[in-house]
Amino acid sequence: MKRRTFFALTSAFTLSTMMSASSAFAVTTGEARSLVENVANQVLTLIRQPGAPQSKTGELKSIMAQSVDMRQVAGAALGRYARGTNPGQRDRYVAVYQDYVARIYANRFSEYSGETISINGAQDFGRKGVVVDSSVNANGQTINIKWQVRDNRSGQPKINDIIVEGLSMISSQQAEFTQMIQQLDGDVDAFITRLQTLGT
Amino acid sequence: MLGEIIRRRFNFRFATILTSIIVLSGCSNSLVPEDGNDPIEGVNRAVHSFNKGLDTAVLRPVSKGYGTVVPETFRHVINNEVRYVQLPVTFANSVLQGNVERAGDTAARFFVNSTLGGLGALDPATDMGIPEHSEDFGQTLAVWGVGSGPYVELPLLGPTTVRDGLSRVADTALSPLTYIGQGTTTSIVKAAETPVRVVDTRERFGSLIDEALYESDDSYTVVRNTFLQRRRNAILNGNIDAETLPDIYNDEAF
Repeated sequence: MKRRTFFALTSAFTLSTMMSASSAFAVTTGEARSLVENVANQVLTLIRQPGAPQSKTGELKSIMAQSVDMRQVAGAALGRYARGTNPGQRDRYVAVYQDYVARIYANRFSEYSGETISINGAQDFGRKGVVVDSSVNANGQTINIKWQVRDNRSGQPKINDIIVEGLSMISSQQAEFTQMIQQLDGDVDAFITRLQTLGT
Repeated sequence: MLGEIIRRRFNFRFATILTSIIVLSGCSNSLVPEDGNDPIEGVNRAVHSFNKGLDTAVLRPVSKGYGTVVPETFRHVINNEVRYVQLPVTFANSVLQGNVERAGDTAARFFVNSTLGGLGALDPATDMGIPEHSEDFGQTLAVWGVGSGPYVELPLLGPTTVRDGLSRVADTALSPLTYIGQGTTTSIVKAAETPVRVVDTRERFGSLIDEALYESDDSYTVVRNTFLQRRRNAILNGNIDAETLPDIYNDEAF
């Protein structure tokens, strides 16, 4: 084998290994789809169980903790105020935020029963991950829900955002939270205290 | 002759409205509305408290009563009719947007629900799997490249933008209800259409609207953000715009 050919072959090999390695880091449409299917089915099973919404918040919280990057989502919901927070505030806020989200969603779900979900497809948005498109049939209505799935910093696929009929959870919370903090003259601690009772 | 004069006057008025929309919205280069574009927030907030007061005193109790007193079957028929009368507007705007698929779906839906559905009282089109769309002139202008202009909360009519608020006039012009003849029945239908639609919507989205208005610390912000996101979704026909997808890993680890 001539040296040149050898060089070309090895570089082609290196290149292809690099390419497959980098694609292994990004979530595929298939992976995103099965993650969403799995989470949606867990949530639908929970909704079907008898009992008051408050009794379901604990389990909803643990389903979300497994499949959603709650810490990073919580940070995004703080918008421009995220940067100025210290580690202690962050830990306290993330804990309060997880309870808040579980509480809000458990209440919303209480109106529904006997839902079915169908996955319509998944679209790759490159760096911003994969968006899985789904339809939930609830009380005779079809609700469109989109799920943004992306690898977290450790390379595990996690749900980043849930978009219900065009309403992004992160975008809605960011608008609401930043306005609340602004009205509290930028006092994040006061905001965390308020968030503890919001929606109760 | 008279028809010709009316048509000319109408065309003239239509052109004036269209020009003013384009001029007024020209200051924004974004087709989909943005949260930041709210130069008259002070006025909007005053109108918002007026609207909220009206909801507390009238609309919420009326829609709650409507939901409990009126039988579900009847409410179902009302909702079918509310959606049915919008179909010609959706059809016209789909055509104006050059969206053949949506125009076709809407024409098919209108034909089926006019005949089998008894002028929209029933909705066999949905059972047949004909997709339902909603297009208005504000969305058409957005597709044509007209920016949204500033956010406005109107008394009684609620949240909108300069472009979308002014384009309501065009939708009235595109609706056959505007042109159907006289007589008691038609007058009642015309007069009742808006209040019935408002109560129907308020009842159907009751808990979500309650949540936005009464369970948040700043209902003005929640209503504005919700409206603008829903508007963007309507303009994009439910598709995702990569630009607006959140990027939670853009910042440092939280």
